[in-house]
Amino acid sequence: MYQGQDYGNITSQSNYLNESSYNFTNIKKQAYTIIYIFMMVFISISVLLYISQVLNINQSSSKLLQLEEKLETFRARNERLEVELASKTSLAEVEKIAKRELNMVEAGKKETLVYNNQIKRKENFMADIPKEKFFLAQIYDRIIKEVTTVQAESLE
Amino acid sequence: MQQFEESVKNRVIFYFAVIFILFIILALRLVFIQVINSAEYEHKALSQRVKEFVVNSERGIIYDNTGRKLAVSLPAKTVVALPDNIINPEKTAAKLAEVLDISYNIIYRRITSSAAAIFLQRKVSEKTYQEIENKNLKGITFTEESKRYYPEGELASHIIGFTGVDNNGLNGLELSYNNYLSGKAGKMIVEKDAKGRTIPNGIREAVPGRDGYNVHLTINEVIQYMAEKELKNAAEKFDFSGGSVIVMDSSNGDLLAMANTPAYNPNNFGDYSDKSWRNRAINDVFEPGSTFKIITAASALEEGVVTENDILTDPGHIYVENEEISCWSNAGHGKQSFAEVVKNSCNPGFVEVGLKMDKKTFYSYIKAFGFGEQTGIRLPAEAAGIIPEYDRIGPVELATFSFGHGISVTPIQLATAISAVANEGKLMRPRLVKEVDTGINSENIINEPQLVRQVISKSTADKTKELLKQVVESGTGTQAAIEGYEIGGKTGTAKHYNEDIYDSSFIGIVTAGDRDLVILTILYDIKGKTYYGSQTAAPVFKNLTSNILNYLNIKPDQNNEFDYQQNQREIIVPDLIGTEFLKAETSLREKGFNVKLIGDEGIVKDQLPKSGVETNYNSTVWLFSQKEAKEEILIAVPDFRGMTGIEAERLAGQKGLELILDGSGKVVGQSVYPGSRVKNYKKINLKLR
Repeated sequence: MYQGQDYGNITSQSNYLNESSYNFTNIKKQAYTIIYIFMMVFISISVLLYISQVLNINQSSSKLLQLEEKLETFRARNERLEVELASKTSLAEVEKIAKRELNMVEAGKKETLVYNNQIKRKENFMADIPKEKFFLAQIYDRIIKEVTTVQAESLE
Repeated sequence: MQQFEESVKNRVIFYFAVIFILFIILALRLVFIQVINSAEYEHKALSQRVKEFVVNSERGIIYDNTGRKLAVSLPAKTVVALPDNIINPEKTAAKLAEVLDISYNIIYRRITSSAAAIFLQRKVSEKTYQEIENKNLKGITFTEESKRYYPEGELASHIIGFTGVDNNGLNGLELSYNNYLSGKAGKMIVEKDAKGRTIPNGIREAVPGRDGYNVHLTINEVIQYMAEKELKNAAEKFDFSGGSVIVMDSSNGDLLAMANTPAYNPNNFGDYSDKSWRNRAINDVFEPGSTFKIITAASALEEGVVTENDILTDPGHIYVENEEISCWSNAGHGKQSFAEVVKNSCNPGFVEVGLKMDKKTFYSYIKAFGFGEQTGIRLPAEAAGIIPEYDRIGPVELATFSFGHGISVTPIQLATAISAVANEGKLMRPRLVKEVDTGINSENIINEPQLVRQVISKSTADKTKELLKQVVESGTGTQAAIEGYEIGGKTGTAKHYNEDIYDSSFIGIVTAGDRDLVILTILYDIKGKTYYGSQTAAPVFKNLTSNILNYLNIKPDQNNEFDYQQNQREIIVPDLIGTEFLKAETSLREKGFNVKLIGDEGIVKDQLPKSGVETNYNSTVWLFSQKEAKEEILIAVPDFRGMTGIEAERLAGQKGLELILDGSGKVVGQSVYPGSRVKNYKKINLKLR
C-alpha cells in the first residue's frame, strides 16, 4: 500500500504559511504583481491616449486643411462677387439701367435758382402820425393785437 | 548512432552558418541603405510624397482717387489635359469643343500628344469651368491661375492698359508700373499621400512670396466717365477720327481725367484694333494752332515786349520774308490793342508780337513751358513733340510758331503748359499715380506733386488769365461760356497740309474752389463743314465743364459778370533821348508806360515811339542804347486806306512809322503794301483824296 504523504497533516506539520518570511515574500509578490498590472494598465492607457490624441490631432489637422480650402474657395468667391458688384455698379451700367429699364432721360438745360439773402427788404416807413391821431392809432393797434394773438394751450 | 548524431550536428552547424552569413549580408546591405546611402533613399522617399508648388503672387489693385477698383486680379481656372489618363480622346475632344473656344481638331491633337500634361485653355470663365466640371471628363483637370479683370470696362482703359496671359503688363500703367504691380512668386512644399491628398501634420513649408503693390491714381472715376461720355456724344455729331480730353488740377498737376476715342475694353482687348489701344493724349502729336497763342502771349507779356494795351494792326495778312501769313478773318481786324488781338485770335497780331521777341527768347520760353520733351507722366511711349532745331528756325518759322503752326505738341504737353499759366506761372509735372501702397511692413511710396520750374511770373500769369477770360466772354470762345462761372480759354483750329482735314481744340481754365482746373478737348481729323474749334471742341468743353462743376458742387455766382476793362486813358510819350537808362525807365513807369530796354545800360540813344506821340496808357516804349538797334526793328505797315490824314499820322506815330502825306481828304493809296514789314526809318507815302 502506498504510504504517501499525509496531506492532512501538511498544514499542521509544516505550517510554513504562518512563517513570517513566507508571508512577507508572498505579499511582496502580490504587491509587485499589482504594481505590474497597474503599470501595464497605466502604460496601455497612456499608449491608447497617445494614439487617440495623435488620431485626434490628425483628424483636426485634416479638418483644418478642409476648412482652409473652404476658406480659400469662399475668399475667391467673395472677390469674384466684389468685382461683379463693382461691374454692376459702374457708371456705364447705372446709366444703361436708368435709360433702358427705368426710361430715364438726361436732364435738359439746368435752371439754377440762387437765393440771395443779401438783398435788403424794402421797408415802407409810415409818415409821422399827427399828435391828434396818435391816441386813435394806439387803440387800433391794441384791437389788432388782441385779434391776431393766440394764447398757447398749457400742457398742465 | 553516434555517427548519425554527428552528421545532424554538422548539418545544423552548416545551415546555421549559411543563415548567419545571409544575415550578415542582409545586415551589411541594411547598413549600406540606412547609413551609408541613407540620404539618397531618403530623398527618393521624400520626392514621392513631397510636392513643390509655385504660389503665384497676386497682382496689385489699381484704384481711382475715390477708392474705386479699376483693375483687380481674380483666380481663374486653366483647363489641363493629362493625355495618359484620357480613355476616349474622340469623345473627350468633342465634349470639350462644345465649351471651349478651340476647335475639335486642335483639342484632339493636343490630348493625344505625348506630353504628360498640356494646357488646353488658360484662365477660362467660371461658367466654362463649371460646364467642364459637370461633364466629369477623365484626364481633364484644372489648375488655378490669376486673371486680370477690369470691372469698369472701357473706363480709363487708355490709362490703365492691360496685361498678357502671363499677367505681365502690356500697355498703360499695367506696363509702366509692372515692377510694382506684379509682385514676387512664392513657393509651397507639401507632403501628399498616394491619392494626392495633403497629409495632415506632414511636411508643410512655405517660402512666402510678395503680392503686387496697390497703385492709387489721381483719376476721378466720375470725371473720367463724363469726359469719355462727352467724346462719345461728339462722335455722334461730328465726323472725326478720334478725340482726347484732359482734365488737370493746375495746382498740383493731378490728372482728374484723360479720355480718348476710339475706346476699347481691356477685358477683351484682343477684339479691338491696336489703333484703339493708343493713348493719343500721350502718344500722338498735333499742331496746336491758336491754343498755342496762350504761350506766345504769356511769353511776350513776361518779356515786356508787349502789354495788353499796345496797339497792333491787322490788314488781314502779314508778310514775313516775302511769305504771306493770313488771318482767319479775310478782312482783318484793323487797329486793335493786344488784348483785342487775343480776343479775336488774330494771326498777324500774334506774328507781330512773336517777332518782337527775338528767336532765342521765344525758343527758350517754348522749351521752358515743356514743349519738345517728355512731361514725365510715366506712361509708355510718351511722345516728345516736334520742335524744329534751333538753327533751322528763321523769321518765318518764328512767325508761324507764334500762332501754333510749324510745331507739334502732345495734348498732355499743352495741358501741362497751360496749367502753368493757371498756376501762377509754376509748371508742375503731370501726376497720374498718387501713391503706391507697399503693404503694412513698409512705407508707402508717395508721389508728391513736383514743381518743374517757374516759367512766368504770377503777375504775367494772372494777366494772361484775364485776357483768356475775355476770349470766352466776348471773343472767339463764347461757345464755351457757362453762365455764372468765370472761364478763360482759347480755341484752336489747325488745317492738315494740302487736305481739308482739321484738328480742332479748346483749352480752358476754370476755377473750382481753391484751385484752377485746366480742361483740354481735342477732336482729330475733322471733316465736313463744321470744323472750327469754336464750333466743335468748345461745346464739348462747355458740356463737360458744366457737368464737372455740378459734380464738384461749385455753385454759379450770378455776380460773376466778367467785364474786361481796358484803361482808355491816353498819355503822351516823353522825350528820353540822352537820359540814363535807369532814370528813363523810372520816369516812364511813373507815367504809366511799359518799358522795354534794348542794349546795355547807359544813355538812351533812341526810343520807339517817338516823343510827343499820344498813345494808350500802359503801352510799351522801347529804349535803345544804340541807334543801329532801332534801325534793325521791322514794323508791320497798317492799312491806312480810308483814314483821314490825322488818323493815319496818329496810328503811324503809335506804331513808330513815319508818313509823307500827299493831298487832303482820306487815304486812297499807300506806297507800302499793308502787312509788309519795313524798317522804322523808311518813310511811307500816302495819297489822300
